[in-house]
Amino acid sequence: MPDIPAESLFSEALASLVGPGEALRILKNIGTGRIAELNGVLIRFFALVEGGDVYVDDTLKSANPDRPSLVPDALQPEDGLVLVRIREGATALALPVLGIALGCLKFAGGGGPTELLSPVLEGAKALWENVIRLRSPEDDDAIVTLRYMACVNARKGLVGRVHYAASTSELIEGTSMRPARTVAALRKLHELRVIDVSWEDQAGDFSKARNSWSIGL
Amino acid sequence: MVHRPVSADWKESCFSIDGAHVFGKFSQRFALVSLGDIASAPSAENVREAIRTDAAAAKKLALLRYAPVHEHRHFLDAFGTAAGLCAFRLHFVAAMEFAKFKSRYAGKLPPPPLVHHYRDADCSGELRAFLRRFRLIDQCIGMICAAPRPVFSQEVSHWSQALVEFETGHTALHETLDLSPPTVICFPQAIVLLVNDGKEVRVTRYIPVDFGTLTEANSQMLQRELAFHEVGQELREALVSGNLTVETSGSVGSALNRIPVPYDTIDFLLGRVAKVHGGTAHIDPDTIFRVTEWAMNRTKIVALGDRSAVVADVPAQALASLVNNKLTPQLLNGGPLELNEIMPPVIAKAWLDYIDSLPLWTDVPEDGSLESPLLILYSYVMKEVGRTATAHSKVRSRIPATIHHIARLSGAQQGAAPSVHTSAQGRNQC
Repeated sequence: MPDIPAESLFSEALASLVGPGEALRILKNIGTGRIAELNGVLIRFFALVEGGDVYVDDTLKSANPDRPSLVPDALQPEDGLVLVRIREGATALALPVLGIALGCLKFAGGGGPTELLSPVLEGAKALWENVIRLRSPEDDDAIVTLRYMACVNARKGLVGRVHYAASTSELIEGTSMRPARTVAALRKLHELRVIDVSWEDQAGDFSKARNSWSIGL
Repeated sequence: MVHRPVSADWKESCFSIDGAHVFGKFSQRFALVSLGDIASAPSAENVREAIRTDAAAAKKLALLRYAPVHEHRHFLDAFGTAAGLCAFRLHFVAAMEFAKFKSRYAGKLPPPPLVHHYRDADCSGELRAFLRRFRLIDQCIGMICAAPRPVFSQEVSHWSQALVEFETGHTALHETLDLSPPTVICFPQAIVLLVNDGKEVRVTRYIPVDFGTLTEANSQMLQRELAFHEVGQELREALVSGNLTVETSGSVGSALNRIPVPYDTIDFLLGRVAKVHGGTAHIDPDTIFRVTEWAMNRTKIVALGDRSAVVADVPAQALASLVNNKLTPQLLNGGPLELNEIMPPVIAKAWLDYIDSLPLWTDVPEDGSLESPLLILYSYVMKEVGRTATAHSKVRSRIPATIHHIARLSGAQQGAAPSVHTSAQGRNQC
């Protein structure tokens, strides 16, 4: 019978962006082993989030399992059970964006999974903390733009195993927002250091249609 | 709350229990409401007569009269909110894990408790994996609806705050709690204890907030408002936890431990937000319902393996988010609070899709296995949840309307919406 998959953190991130059907197609393309590996990365990542609600339960490893004790420094899944509590609607945006960004970093380019080193996880931490600062309704345009960017990355980056950066014109078309609103949203996301840009022409010229954008890890 | 050392049994203030008399109980894992002596439930007229002569007796009659709606409200919260459904599903997953393990495990099981054998050299990998997963499920349930015991502190600097979030590694909570999530979100209840020598002792009781805190607020509100409609303001006041008396010859510490946690913690909490800058609180009852329902409808179990689990937006977190980012004295005092998406559509849809994917309980084979009866019970409950939700055009709680509906059915007095008076006014200092 259907139930909570054993390792579904990355799947959850993907499904909330592209829907369960397309998520399944992408997941099949990626392969079970890599998904499990990425789940492990995401779990380890949560240990780095400042003020993150990561709870390591080492009850089973203690001499008296009836009496839990906390060992905050032992944040390795293999050394204990890791229970993560995330908040403020993080599953709606921050988790999908981060999951896709890390997935693209690991799997783009067609190579095998590579180890995500500490600097990458530190970058992920900065990304997470910036994304969760976006608030509805004042940041709705930025949220829509960022979600669409993550969607495109999931479809083209993860499936095609390529490094992909969406152009401004592609984002305008994909989000169906007026160009001025999209540019304002990109400016906001760039200020928050949520996205990276490759400028078409002069650095800082947000108006160019062929500026290309990617999630900033 | 002022506690005076004069004679009275503290159990007088418990709403579900009067001494050995249980008015009603609700068990989520069994989807069961049980009621006490319902056959002798008093009529509204009985209660009205009693209130004229003996308030304490009237209160007992009222508790008996309203026990069915009180417990039914718990039932609705448990099976009509995301947090409640998550908890029920986790209870089921835990039971199924055990049933599957028991029926498939080929080796000889060591004597219980199994968890004590986790570190044994000959403990099998299969048993270890089962114990790990079982422990994680238990902890996930704990995150949602097993708030740890309150702790007391002589620190009084939080008396003006609605919520305090503790890092458990740095406080007494770390030493005290059975369940130790990384942070615990608490309501800092102000307590002034007057002891016999006239000395005043000020302490804070940090009450952890969880699903139970929120659903109890709803049940209490429902029975209070029914009491108001059927009998009047005097009975409603009697049902609010007010000044409490405890009698003890022991220490201050033992007296504190005998003070029950108030059922209306959320009322006090929101009252504190509404009274910022020294104002008074006049919170519409529907506001309480909407706040609690909003907070109970964001929870998701994002991942659950045998090494790690991820839980999102448990009720306490959602409540803290609402209190910190949205609620203002103006909003709370300005009539029924409007909140968008009491249950986010994406969460509602995910639950309905999931329920659709479950086998119909009548189709589950009765094969004598341990799994079969569990699945029949689970499927029956969840299909009923799905059927009820689909019957409504929108998946959202109907409860705020329910209270007025019940009031009309009972022929109660009509008129202006009653207010919840959470100001101190000699009643409490929470």
